[in-house]
Amino acid sequence: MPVLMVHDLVKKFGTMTAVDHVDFTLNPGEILGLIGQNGAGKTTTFRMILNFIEPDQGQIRWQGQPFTQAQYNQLGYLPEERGLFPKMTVMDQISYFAELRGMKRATIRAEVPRWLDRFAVKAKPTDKIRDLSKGNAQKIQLIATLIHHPKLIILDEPFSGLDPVNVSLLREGMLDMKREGAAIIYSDHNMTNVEQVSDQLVMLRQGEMVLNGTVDQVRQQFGRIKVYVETTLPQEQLAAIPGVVRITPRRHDLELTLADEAVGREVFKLVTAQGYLPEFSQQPPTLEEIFKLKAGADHE
Amino acid sequence: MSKFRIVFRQVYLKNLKSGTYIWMVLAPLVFLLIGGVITIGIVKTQQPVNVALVTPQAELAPLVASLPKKNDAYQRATKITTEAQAKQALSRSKLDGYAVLTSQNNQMKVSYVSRASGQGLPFSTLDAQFNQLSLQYQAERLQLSGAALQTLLAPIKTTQTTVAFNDQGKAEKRDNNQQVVNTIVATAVSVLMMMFIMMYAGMIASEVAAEKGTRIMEIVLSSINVNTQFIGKIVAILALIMTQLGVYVVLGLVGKPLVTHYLFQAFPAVKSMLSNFKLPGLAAGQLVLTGLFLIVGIMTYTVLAAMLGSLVSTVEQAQQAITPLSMVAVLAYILGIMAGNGVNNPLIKVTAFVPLLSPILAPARVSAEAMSVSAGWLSLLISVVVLVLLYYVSLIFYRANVLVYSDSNLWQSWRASWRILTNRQRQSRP
Repeated sequence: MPVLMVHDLVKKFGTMTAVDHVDFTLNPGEILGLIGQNGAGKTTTFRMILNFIEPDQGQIRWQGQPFTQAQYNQLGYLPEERGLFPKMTVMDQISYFAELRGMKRATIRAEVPRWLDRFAVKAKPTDKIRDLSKGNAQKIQLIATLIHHPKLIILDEPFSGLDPVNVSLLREGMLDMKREGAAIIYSDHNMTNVEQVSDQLVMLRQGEMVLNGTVDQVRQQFGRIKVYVETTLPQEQLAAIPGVVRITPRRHDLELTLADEAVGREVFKLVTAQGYLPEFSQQPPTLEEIFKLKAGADHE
Repeated sequence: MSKFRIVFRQVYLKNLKSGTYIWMVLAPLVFLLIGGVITIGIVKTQQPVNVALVTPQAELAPLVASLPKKNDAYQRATKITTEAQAKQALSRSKLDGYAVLTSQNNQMKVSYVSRASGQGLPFSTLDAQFNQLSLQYQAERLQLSGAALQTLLAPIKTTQTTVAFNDQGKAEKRDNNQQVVNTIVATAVSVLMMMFIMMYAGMIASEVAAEKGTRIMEIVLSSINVNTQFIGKIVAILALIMTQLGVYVVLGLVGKPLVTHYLFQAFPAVKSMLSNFKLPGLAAGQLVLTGLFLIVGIMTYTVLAAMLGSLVSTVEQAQQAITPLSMVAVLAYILGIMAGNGVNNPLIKVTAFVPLLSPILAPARVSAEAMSVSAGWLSLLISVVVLVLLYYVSLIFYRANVLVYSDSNLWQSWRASWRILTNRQRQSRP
């Protein structure tokens, strides 16, 4: 049974539709990336899942049931804007949030040092939050989100503001929780992260769901319309092939955008006519490209 | 541990350890201590007014010499007997002033000279003494007997009795200075009530606004029901009030023997002075009433402040959010001071029963003995009923506001939360 089922969700603020008929399901051990530009409706969707605001239409089901107080302890939530009590110690801060999720104080005290170590937090449990660096404070908040081993984890832009080392630690942390069977839904603007950790992808544009599926499914929807080729042929000759939409020179090769993946064969024929070729790769567009493509449609 | 207890403990301990709370508890004691130290300091360092009483006429010298050398008002420099000596002593700041007594055509005349930088001369005392001298002088001149003089000078006999009426309508005698004591107590009650109400209201509004502004509220409300969180906060504030009152009770119990044993022994005058006054309330339970008004008053303002704090998005806006509430408290404070000063018009009488105003006004009026204790209990009952209603209204608005972020002003935020409420009601209808 899915941990979370979102069906036909609609939310309007006045005349503006923030979330427009959104559907998805999330199973145990799955990670769903919710992407979209700022104001696309990601946070509103999270807030409806968390029961902070009521949808105008649609249903949200937790393990097949409507949301009740019984689910509070099975949930981990990291809001987009981070907040901690500056005067509290690391231990007290984590304890407060974890106790609110039903953990026993003794268990929390025993586990905190292990979690600090796991996320390489440069702080002692007795340090005050206000004395921590921004990155370490973010990791404390993340620990407070995960320490009670929730079944559903909601992370609103968790990678925002983290350096590459901490991004990698967080990614590992998410994958660990996934291996434990947690279902994770998170939002992000960095498509590399999305591609590396997500099993599923939902893209919102002005509240509407414009993409939904696994990362591979989403990419395959667009066909193999990208060709990366290292050739000595002049660009004009490649551009003359019907169906080559655009040629973008890169450091060592060229990136060709095709109108249709069948055009790739014509390109291959031309570039291999002279024999050996160090690189020829025909791929679907990256998530980054798909994101820009879909988000760009917004402005057309 | 229940989630209510977790929120309660967090809010209680966080504020208990805060500088604001510690100051709030200590402030009245510090002010009391400072006031006491200043009073003792003034009393100890106060020098008597040094005066010289002289006369150039030898026949008047025995009369001048008969005047007291020292009394409560002044100390005479008896070695100075001439105006020239007095002038010299005045220029050397050894005197605060002097009086020259002369007589012309059997009429006595007194000229006072005082130093601008010296202490003021006790003119009324000196005038009274010179009047007495003049009468003596005239009686001797007119050869009146001592008995005739006594009869002539005998003042009219007056008695003064001030009474206050208790709950049974029975008159109780009060010292003539009781009105002054009542005013002081009523003013102190108004000032303390106002101070505590504003501090607790500010505390809860800042607490809510800070949690909302830092998004801690989102994490908390994804773990706990908003009703539980609200009541956890309010009960924690109630516990802080009880702790504060408890501190005063303990200090009072510890301090009482210290005062009676040491202070009264060191300053017997204080003991006799205090025994003349009846502190209103100590005998008839007004103290309990005042304590309950303090709790109910603070709680009423606290639940409203929590609601107002939930309207804003940052801690910086919290004080602005509770401005309307502060204005009501200031109004109650002004009326309380007026009531303490004996103003007893219909407006004051009626507002002593109006919730939000009554927690300050009613105890002040009871302290000033302008309102009976039973009327005070009725006013308290009205306040309790309104507190319960306001708790539920505040909770409804708190639930609507607490996760709504807006940069608009307070009025627009209020309207937005009203819209959310009405939308919810519409959605919940079948």
